[in-house]
Amino acid sequence: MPKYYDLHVHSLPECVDSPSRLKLVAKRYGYAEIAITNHSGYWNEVAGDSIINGIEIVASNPAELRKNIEKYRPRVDILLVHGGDPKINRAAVENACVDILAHPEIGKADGFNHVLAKSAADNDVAIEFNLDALIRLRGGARVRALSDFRRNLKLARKFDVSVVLTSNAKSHYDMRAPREMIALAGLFGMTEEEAIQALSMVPVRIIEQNRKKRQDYIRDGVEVVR
Amino acid sequence: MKMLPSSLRERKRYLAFEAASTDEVSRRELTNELWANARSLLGDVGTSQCDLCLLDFDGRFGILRCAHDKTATARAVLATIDRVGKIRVGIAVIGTSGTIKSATEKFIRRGGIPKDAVKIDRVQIMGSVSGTVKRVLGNEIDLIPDDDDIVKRSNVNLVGVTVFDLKRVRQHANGIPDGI
Repeated sequence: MPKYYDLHVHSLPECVDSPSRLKLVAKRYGYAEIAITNHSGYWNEVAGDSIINGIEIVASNPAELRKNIEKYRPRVDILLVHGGDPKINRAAVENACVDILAHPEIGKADGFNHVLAKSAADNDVAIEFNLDALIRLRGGARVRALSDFRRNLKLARKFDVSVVLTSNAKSHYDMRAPREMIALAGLFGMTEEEAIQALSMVPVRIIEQNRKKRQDYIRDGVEVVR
Repeated sequence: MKMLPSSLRERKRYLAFEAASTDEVSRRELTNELWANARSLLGDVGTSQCDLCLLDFDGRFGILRCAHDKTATARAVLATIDRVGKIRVGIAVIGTSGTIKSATEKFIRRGGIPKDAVKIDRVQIMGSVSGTVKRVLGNEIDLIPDDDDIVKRSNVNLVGVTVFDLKRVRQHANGIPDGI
């Protein structure tokens, strides 16, 4: 059985649940590990078994985003960018230091397109499908979210962009078990294999790469021989 | 009324699920929410094909019937339930089965809710968060927070912590528990 990961969960002090509570619930639901990714204003270092130290960077312009990425990259194992604004989305997918672009579709303007998909693939930035949109929204808003997800999935398939499924949970009531995540992903046309890939293989690859990079890393293909 | 012979009956699956909620939810309230949700997600046609029926719900565990080839859809409907009235809920399917009996025997635990593992009534953790204890389930503790700001940010009226958080506070305070 694959190991499942939820890479986008908010905890105390930003939201109501402590990291250890979220971990307990995640374990019960069948996750191997979860990443605590508070918005950059609330960031604090979290540690513990099965908890990945992460951040979701919020920035109002590309320059601020770059500054924040430089500041937090050495301190975290996983780095998300709070997407939505077209300029931020673009700056995020063009920066190889970013692991995941979170919810690129939430802004007013069209958030994601073939140009961004291509640079996301080139820079190995994964695109997130935050399933809380399907859980939380109703009516027209949910219809729009589903259409956006379908469009993003089509682009991701065409340009071979990595995708991740996350809960974007603000409490443990927002978390869903892996099988439910797979069922929700099926609503916008993701196959079961793709969904399992997005919940387990892609997160494993991102985390392993990052942990490797934090020790003696120079660049891809170069290593220090002692 | 004659019962259909077994060869002509529709085939069913039974989903055993567990619900976490901020307050008590009755079976009737959950049924209404389930139907409203199914109709909003699948429409009338899809809902009728799915053949959903909430057979039992005791506030924590429940059994949902669905058509045998629609388990993924039924899971999606259960997953989209995020609140019942003003009460926040989160539902996780524990397992699926072909009969009510095996679903009950395999997946449902009766009277297995551990209570009051720790005797405390006020808690302060992580420096800034403090509150009154509302309930304790095993290692999990729900607090009614004194400060409303975090509640607004996450739409839940209870702060969830664990006994492990409290132990850390005790250590930091050199054996003198902070605000407990």
